[in-house]
Amino acid sequence: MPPVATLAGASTVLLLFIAGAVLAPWIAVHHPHELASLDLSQSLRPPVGFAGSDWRYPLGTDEQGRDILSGLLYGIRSSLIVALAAVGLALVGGTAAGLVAAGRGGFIDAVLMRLGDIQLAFPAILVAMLIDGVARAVLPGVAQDGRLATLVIIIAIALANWVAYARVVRTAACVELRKDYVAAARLAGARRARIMFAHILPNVIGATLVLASINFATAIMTEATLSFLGVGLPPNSPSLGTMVAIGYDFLFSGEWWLVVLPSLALVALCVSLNLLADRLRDGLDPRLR
Amino acid sequence: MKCAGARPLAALLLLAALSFLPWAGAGEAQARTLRVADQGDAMSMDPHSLNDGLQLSLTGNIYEGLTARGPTLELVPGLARSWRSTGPTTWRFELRDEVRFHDGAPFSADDVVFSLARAAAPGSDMRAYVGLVSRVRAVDTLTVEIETSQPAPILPEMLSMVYMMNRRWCETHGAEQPADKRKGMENAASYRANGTGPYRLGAREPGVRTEFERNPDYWGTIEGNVERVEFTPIGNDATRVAALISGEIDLMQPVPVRDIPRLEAAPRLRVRQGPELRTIFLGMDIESETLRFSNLDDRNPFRDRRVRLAMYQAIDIDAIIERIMRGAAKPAALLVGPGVRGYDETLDRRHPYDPEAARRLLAEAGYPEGFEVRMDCPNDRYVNDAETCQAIAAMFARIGVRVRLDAQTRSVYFPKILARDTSLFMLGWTPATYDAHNVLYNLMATPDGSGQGQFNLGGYSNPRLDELTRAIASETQDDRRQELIAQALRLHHEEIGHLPLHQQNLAWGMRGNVRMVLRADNFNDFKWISID
Repeated sequence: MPPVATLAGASTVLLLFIAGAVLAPWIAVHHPHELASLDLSQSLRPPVGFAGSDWRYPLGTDEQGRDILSGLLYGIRSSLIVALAAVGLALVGGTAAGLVAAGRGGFIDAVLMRLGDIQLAFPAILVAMLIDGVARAVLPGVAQDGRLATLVIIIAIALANWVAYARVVRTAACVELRKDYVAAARLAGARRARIMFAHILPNVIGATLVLASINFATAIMTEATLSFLGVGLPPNSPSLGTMVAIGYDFLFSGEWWLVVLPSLALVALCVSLNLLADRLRDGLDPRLR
Repeated sequence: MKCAGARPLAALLLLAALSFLPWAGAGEAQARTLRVADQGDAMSMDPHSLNDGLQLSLTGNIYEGLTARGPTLELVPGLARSWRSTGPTTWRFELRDEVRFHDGAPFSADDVVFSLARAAAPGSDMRAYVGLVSRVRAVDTLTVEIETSQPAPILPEMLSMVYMMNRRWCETHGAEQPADKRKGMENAASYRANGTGPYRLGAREPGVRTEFERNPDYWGTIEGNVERVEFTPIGNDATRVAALISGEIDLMQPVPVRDIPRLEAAPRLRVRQGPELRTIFLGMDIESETLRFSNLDDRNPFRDRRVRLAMYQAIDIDAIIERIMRGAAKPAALLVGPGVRGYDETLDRRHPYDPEAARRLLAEAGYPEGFEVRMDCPNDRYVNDAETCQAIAAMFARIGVRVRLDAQTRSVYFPKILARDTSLFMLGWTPATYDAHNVLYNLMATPDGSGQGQFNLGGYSNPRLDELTRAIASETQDDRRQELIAQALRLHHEEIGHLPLHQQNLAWGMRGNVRMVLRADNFNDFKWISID
């Protein structure tokens, strides 16, 4: 288990990020993609402490005059929303699939698990890109509309990640199904669905929550990677990945804050999430209890 | 205990490792290969399929026209040794003797007849350059007579970019028609080439690599010492800069303006800059009854001069040049830049930047709440094109015109706007004849399907300007011609047919041992490049 000090640090960082993301509309100088609020004369200001900086833009501005801090706040907001929804969807979908597979057995079980096996052969990023690409071809609005693109990304990341939940739940459910209380419930006349969702589910959920907490950080990185590659959120939607992609061009010319700060934010977010997930696992994993 | 088999094994491994070491100095012993990169690629090797600077520049090393350009863009003989006007509407071109295509076929007047007809065919993007040609006749194997529909004193200049192809080769390979880029068509000429030029086409992988090899049987002199050229498109700015710094490439353009100081400071690298003849501007759909790609379904705001003036006055071009172009551009009020014949410095005064006035004008025109419109922009064709569009989108938003910016790669962007599938778009233009008539004819005259207004993608139309353009084409007296050009430019400026932005600077990055000729039209002739 990680030392207490590290955990405290991680929790603080995470809470700060969450607070920033929630309060973004009030504390940010402007929404970085609200075109009418951009001022070209403020472009390329460095963070405070360097020559030419301005306290109104504490972390500097980019080439179009967008405030970096505002971009980070809205970007973290995006990341958290996407990750929460994607992980939630994967959790619910995967758990349901796992329970159905375990409960039904036979052909349905085989089909679901084989589907999962096939999908596991592909890296998650690739699966997400494929789903995103197909969506763009079918719904051309995705390339432009931030809300639609967010929905597509959430579905893509969820579809890329459901398998782990399904397998864990199925295995745990199979074990539980052999236990006495299930036999008792069956004798008492409970229908299969009731047994699965009212009796077995509470006993297998612990493992899935551990998975979800680790998956959360992965989902954030997946969204950032997709946006960096240009196949995630559209360029007019705030995203840490897009900020890194734009800032990357400025690596050689001295405006380091455009790429370093969003990257640091991503790293800090994911590391603190992973540390807390570790702690959660230690608490919830039945095998370690 | 030492293993008996270890020593021979070790020797084998050492040998294998040594064979992978890069041998210093081996590069100089090989043929002089130039590795050059650009931010995009030619879309095809067909010289008539797209009127794009990069494509014409690359294919211009393989193919040639009747006339050509020297290092300072002066008109020089190309495949035609000489030419003269034999009547008010006829020209006679005497062709060079003993010129062969790369496949060995002799070049003759019949190829000229074929090529000019091909350039005028429906799928060609070079129709404007042969738009005044009404008839081409082979007088004998080395003499061609060209008749024009009206007096055309600058016909030789117009023909410098219409490259000559071999009739038999095209017929054998099913490439008699140019591949129509708008329709996404391709044929053998897209991937293979048979020209008369100083370099032959080697391998061609679109978007990946194109190779050129020196033509040992070239009719002219190749002043440079480059034997092979490897051209690679590297779209990402940082990657292209890194490739030059690391020595992976020898020459590239454009150097992103933000990286120029760094490259200039690097010990073994050099940056050469110069003004380009290309003017960058925005075009608006002035033709349609209702503005497609907007939130209005019953009117077109761009048809109202007040709206166009409002858009014009919303643009703070000085801020864009200072911040986005980092000073490497010059504001433009005309679509004709300094260096183009017909440019008039006294006319090059922009309408003033005044967002307050712009808002008032919009309200006057009946758009107090502004409107929404989609703006189309390339992201890998001109210097900082997408960034400029971004900044302009923000400026438009401040006066109420809410722009949805769609920045795309050129292979998707140009077919789209050439099909006039746009309401507001960015375009850059270098007149191939270095003469204002080319700009008037292509960009400002009413589109008539024959070549006139072929790149007037917004459909700006003024019959008086069309009249002036026709008169300019046949006017032989210089000062009278200049006066007509000034009238036409003034008219377009007053009516705000387009929103001119700036002339960009060229910036080529190269290793210290590369010497090249920097042409103001950004064409790159491999035959003038030397590697020391």
